[in-house]
Amino acid sequence: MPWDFDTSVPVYLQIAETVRRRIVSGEYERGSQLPSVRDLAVKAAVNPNTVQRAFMCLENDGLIETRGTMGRYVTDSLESVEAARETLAQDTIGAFCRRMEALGYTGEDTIELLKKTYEGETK
Amino acid sequence: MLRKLFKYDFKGMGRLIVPISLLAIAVALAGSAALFGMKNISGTDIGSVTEFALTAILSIIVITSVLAIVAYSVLCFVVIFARFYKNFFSDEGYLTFTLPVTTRQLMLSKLFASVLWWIAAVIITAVLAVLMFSVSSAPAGAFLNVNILTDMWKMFSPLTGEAGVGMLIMTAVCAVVQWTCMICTVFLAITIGSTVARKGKVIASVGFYFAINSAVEIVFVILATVCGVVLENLDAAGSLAWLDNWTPEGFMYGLLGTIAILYGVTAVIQLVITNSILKKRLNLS
Amino acid sequence: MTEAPILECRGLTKTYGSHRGLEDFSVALPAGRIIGLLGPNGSGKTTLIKLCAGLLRPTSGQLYIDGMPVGPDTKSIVSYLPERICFDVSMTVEGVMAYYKDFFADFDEQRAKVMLEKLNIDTARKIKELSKGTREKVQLVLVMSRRAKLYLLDEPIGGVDPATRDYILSTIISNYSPDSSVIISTHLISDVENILDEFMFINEGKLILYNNCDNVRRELGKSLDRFFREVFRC
Repeated sequence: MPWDFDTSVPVYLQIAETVRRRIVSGEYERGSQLPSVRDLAVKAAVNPNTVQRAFMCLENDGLIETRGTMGRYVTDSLESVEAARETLAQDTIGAFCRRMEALGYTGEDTIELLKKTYEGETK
Repeated sequence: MLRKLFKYDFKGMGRLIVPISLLAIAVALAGSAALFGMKNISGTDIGSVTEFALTAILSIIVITSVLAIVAYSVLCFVVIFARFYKNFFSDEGYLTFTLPVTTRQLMLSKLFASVLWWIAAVIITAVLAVLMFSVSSAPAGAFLNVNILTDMWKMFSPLTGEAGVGMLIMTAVCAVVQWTCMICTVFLAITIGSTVARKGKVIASVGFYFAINSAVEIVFVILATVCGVVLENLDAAGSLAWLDNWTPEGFMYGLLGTIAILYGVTAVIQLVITNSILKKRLNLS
Repeated sequence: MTEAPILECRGLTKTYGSHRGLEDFSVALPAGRIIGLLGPNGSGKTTLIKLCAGLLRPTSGQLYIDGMPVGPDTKSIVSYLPERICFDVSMTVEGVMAYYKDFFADFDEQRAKVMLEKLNIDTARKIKELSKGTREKVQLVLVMSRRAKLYLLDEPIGGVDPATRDYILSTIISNYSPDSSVIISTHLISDVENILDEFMFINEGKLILYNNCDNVRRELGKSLDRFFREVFRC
């Protein structure tokens, strides 16, 4: 099934984002080979050049590397993945905070509500 | 590439013409049998009423088979027309004209295939006609008049003299050139008709066929008249004395040759115009 | 651009009597792209495609495919998918495949067979026995099985169900090669915009815009579909 995209935002960024998340979550393990550009393009139903651009983006971030003609691999570096995990987390938190603010919650109220919700979930 | 195109055109037309030909042959054989029956019924004693009924039925069969033989050649002509039209100007044209070949190759392939099948159709028609003549002129009791061919040959002798085979070949060549020209007229008519008409392309093509034929005939008549005048003047001036030495046979060769050249030139002119329209003015709907 | 463009138009014009199908159309398309030819009905999309396929002659201007003027040589590297079925329907699927193989040196028979098998199409059947949708699939398979340099797809997904549409788009993607380009002419923009690299907006025979899709998204924050609607607002 083709992936869902917000077509008002550059698609290559969204692909890069999805691959980043999969690396961070471990779905694409460290050091493992990534699917080829063609395979990913067919799966996501996007243009191969778009996937290529997304990969280049991730390469710039140090999350993946090209090994000659053998293809693309996820980095072995734990630090890079951790750094990416943290960046993603920060982005998620940042977006969350802005949304709560828009609902009228102060910083403290938000933290209170968070605590309650977590406790409720772990019970 | 031309060979490949020809293969498909020839086979494609054959798929229609061969069954039609077999049908025509079958009908002609039935007609011949009926003819034979009719001729030999009077000798038997099956009663006058039965004889009358039988004769009536048999004559219907004979007439039908004669009409069928005529219809056969018309059908073959239609197949030639249809193949050209369908392959170029129906939706198939979207594939035909995107093949990596020139329009000239497309056109010539169809021309060769059409001429070959037309020659086959004419030969079959002739054989079937001779068959029926042979049966109808057979002596009592015999199925065929085996001398039919020699009898027919004798009929034509005054024209052909002693030339024999040579004259036959010349006649055949002349005929083939004329048929080729006829097919070129079909192609040109369809091409003009389909390019000019938005709707009713087939009717327009048929219309143009008769128009072009008439135009060609008019040109020939004008040419003949001009030639006649020129020859008369030359004759009056005495420059044509050498013609008195010409035998009837030589004259026939000359006549047939001239006809062949005229039709040949007309065919080529039509092909050139057709090719030009196909190259430059093609516009499939 | 270091390599010759796959398609180059310079002042390309095509008039039908008084009607202008294409007017002073100039563009250079590189290889390795999937390009959308987008515009309302009657804007000249089909005219441009027919000119590239060799079904029409330009009134004026120049048209080069892989550096060559349109003719038998370009037809051997251009694979055209028309809006209508263009086979002799009395042939079998196998027969049409053999026809393609005979005339197009770049036809990959193996690939076609695999695709037809995946679609459960019995190649021994005659085209006229197949449903309209199946005929269209056969035509698509044959066109995409050629290793051409330029693919011209005229409304490939109009009137097909979503599953078939996904299949068609996926075929186009997996057929991609950096040496060839695909031009998709359509008015169903939201369905195809994800697979397009670039696009041309065309209206009244003129080129309105030629740009990269992600540029539009980045600079305008709009989808191509939305951008199209704004540009071509009635």
